[in-house]
Amino acid sequence: MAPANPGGGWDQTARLVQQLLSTGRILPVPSEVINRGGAGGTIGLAELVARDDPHTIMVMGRVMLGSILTNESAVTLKDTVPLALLLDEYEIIAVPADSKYRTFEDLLTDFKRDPQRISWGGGSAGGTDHILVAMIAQAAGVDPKNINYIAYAGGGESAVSVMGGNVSAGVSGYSEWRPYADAGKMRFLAISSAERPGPGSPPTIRESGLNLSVSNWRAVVAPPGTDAVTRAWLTEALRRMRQSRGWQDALRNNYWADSFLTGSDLENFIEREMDSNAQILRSIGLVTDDQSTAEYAAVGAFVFPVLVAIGLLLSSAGALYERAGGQRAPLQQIDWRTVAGACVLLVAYALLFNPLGYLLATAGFLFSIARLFGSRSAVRDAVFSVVTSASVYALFNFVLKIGLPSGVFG
Amino acid sequence: MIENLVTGFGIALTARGLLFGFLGVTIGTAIGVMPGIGPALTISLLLPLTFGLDPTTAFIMFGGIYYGAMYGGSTTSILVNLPGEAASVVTTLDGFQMAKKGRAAAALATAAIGSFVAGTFATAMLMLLAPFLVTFALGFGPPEYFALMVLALTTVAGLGMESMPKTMFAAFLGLGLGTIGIETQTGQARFTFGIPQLLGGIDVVIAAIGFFAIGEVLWMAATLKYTGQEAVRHRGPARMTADDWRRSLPSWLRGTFTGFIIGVLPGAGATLATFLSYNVERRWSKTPEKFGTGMIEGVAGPEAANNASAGGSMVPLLALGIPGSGTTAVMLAAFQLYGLRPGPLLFTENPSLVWGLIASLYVSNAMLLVLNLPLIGLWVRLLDVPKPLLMGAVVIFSTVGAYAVNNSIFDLGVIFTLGAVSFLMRRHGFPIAPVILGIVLGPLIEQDFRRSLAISVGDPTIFLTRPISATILLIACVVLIAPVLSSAARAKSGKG
Repeated sequence: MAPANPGGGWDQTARLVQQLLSTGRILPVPSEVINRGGAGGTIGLAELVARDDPHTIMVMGRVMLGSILTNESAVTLKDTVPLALLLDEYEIIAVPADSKYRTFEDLLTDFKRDPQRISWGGGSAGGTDHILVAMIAQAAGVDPKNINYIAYAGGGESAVSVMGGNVSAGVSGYSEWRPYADAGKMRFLAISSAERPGPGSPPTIRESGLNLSVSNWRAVVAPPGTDAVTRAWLTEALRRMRQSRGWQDALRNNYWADSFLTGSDLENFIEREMDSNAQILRSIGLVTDDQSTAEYAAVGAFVFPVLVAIGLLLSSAGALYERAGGQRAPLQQIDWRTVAGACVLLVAYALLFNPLGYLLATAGFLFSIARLFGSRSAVRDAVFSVVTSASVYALFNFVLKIGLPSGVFG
Repeated sequence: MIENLVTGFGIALTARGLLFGFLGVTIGTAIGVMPGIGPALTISLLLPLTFGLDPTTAFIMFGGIYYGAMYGGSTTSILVNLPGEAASVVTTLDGFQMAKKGRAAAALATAAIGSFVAGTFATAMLMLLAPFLVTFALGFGPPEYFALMVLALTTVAGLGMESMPKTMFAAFLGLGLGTIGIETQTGQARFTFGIPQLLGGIDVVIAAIGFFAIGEVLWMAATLKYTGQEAVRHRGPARMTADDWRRSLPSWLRGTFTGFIIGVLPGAGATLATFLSYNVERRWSKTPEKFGTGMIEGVAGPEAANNASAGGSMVPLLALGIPGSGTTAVMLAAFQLYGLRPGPLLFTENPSLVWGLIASLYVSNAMLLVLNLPLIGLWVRLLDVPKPLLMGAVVIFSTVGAYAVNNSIFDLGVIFTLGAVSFLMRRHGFPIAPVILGIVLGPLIEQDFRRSLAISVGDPTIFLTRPISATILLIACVVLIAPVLSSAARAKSGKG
């Protein structure tokens, strides 16, 4: 399972792992990637734990630690069984190609003088990009609440903001932005690793005198009910995958560091990361009970909703005024009984979707609604209902491989 | 370039290229017709199956799926008022009205031919202008996007027929629904009431299905007794008449232009392109008041814009490695899985892939036209299905589509609730399309407004000091004020 929509880093990792596990014949059974995007991965995490099926394992990473806290997720990583740490991806700090900042020190000097003048473009609020900026602020003696961070939906969008010169500096994954720097469209100032990861790498943040390093690690976790034997078996499968040529090639192509870790070492690692992450999020004001202390933003989160509410009130007032002015179009005659019947059928359909299973619920619904709408031939309706629901079921389950609930037949 | 293109056609026209191109467009058309299941989901489902293929062949198939889905999306909008994705919401406004008048075949034909025209032109522009367009796209920062969204919002004025306050109410309702979920700039959850499924916001596909499909079914339940059960008769000429052609052609070209430009901008999207195109059509028309009653321009323009924006979004994907739509995001992931480096160097590092793909887009477009025109006769037959069965089928296809988006029963509850809201709005004369526009625009307009002011450290003149943003805002003002002035002038001359 990838707890994200297709296209992002977790999805990429999940697909890579799945591909290597199946083509390398490491797993004796076929496997597939399922995407459960949303809410920084916490929707996927909640489903993994709720389903508790040892045949489902999930890719996750550092960002999830943040979203568990900011979304106040009821399910946390303590509810999972960690299998293996797969890789470290380092963060890059880049500026537009025509920026006046030649080195990271130049940027830091201006940042210390007037923090809000430096706008940082990066991924979602509370994600690793954001956290790195907060850590830089802390290390440079700037209050993290004062950083001017502009969140984008992903590394692609924020790359545009850097290349277009809209932000002073940008933060993203090394491999993601490397092509832009190679093409001369942006300039790398620093990398977040402890040591330079290889040729062509910019200096580390440490070399500029700030004692910090961050990696956007990714790991694989299993559901809570995984027993020791299954866990050992899955860990071993991942270990074999790590030794495969495909994995080593992928590490090199993506400039990932091989940080493979399993067992209690991994558990300790996640524990440490959770603590430090929570502390940093608190310092930027993302995790707090008091909304008013949330970090610096030129326009707050509740300005727009208030404007919308005012608009709704004004337009309702306008509509009422129009009505009082006598402009009242004749209303269409409504057959309320059929409407009520249709609503009852819809609600019943939604409620019976899972317990009865797709086939029964759908065939029943189709037949009843045709009756309700005054169809004349019961036999025709019955045939139509059964054929339609069976074909949709077949299409989804066997062609598209999107599992519809099988219910009583399961 | 000619040389490259010849090489590209050499790849696209091999038996293998043609076969997978055809497979792509067929799958694309089929999933385009299904509400909820878009090209992004389809390509990600197919990814594991394509590892045995070489990347060029796989991308020829993906390109076919993407273009094909754009063709298929309009079908259900026109026939049963069920937009399969947000980008075909606008098509329902005049397309469904045309179908009610017995002109479904002409509406489907103008959509298909318009898609062909747009797809072909867009691919040509992608081929000829990609490097220039990339510079243009990079010139768009948050203030420019904000101005563009404001311009799009002015199209609301053209979406309601009767009452301005009611139209505004619908738009604000949409903007309000769009604020649900985690807000992007500071990561706070708004109006989620502790429900985790709401953290990601209301998916616009889910909203479109609820407001249109379920709303339509409830409306049918309410009025079937009085309007009768017989199917729509095929009145009027089934094919496009000479007059239809004369009216459609300029609309296709305008739609292509609008759609392509919007498609190139990674922060905008196809839905925006279709709404803007609809507005363009209304402004050019001599009878703007007739829009919403079955004007063929209202189908031709947005449908062309829809396809052109798909072509446009290939520009940032191929020339920069930046996805401008959900589908290109999945294609980007596919590049990485094949070990390719998408980015500014893709054109020089993998010319055979890029040019093979571009050539195959031309081929796919031609295939789609040949595939879709004969299908029109078949689709129109759908209207012969008795209403009670057809309405049941609309519910089934829309719920299964909504379910497929997140595999969640919760979304069924959402579409049924929104359907009930839609029914009440319709009963009291509120238009529905502005709600969808609001849901799409709300989050974008807000985040770009806030990003702009963050960049300028709170200085609001940023919108006026940047030339592109100032120009777009000026156009928006003209668009808003011009009809008022011209109607005032007309009233004056009428009196005098």
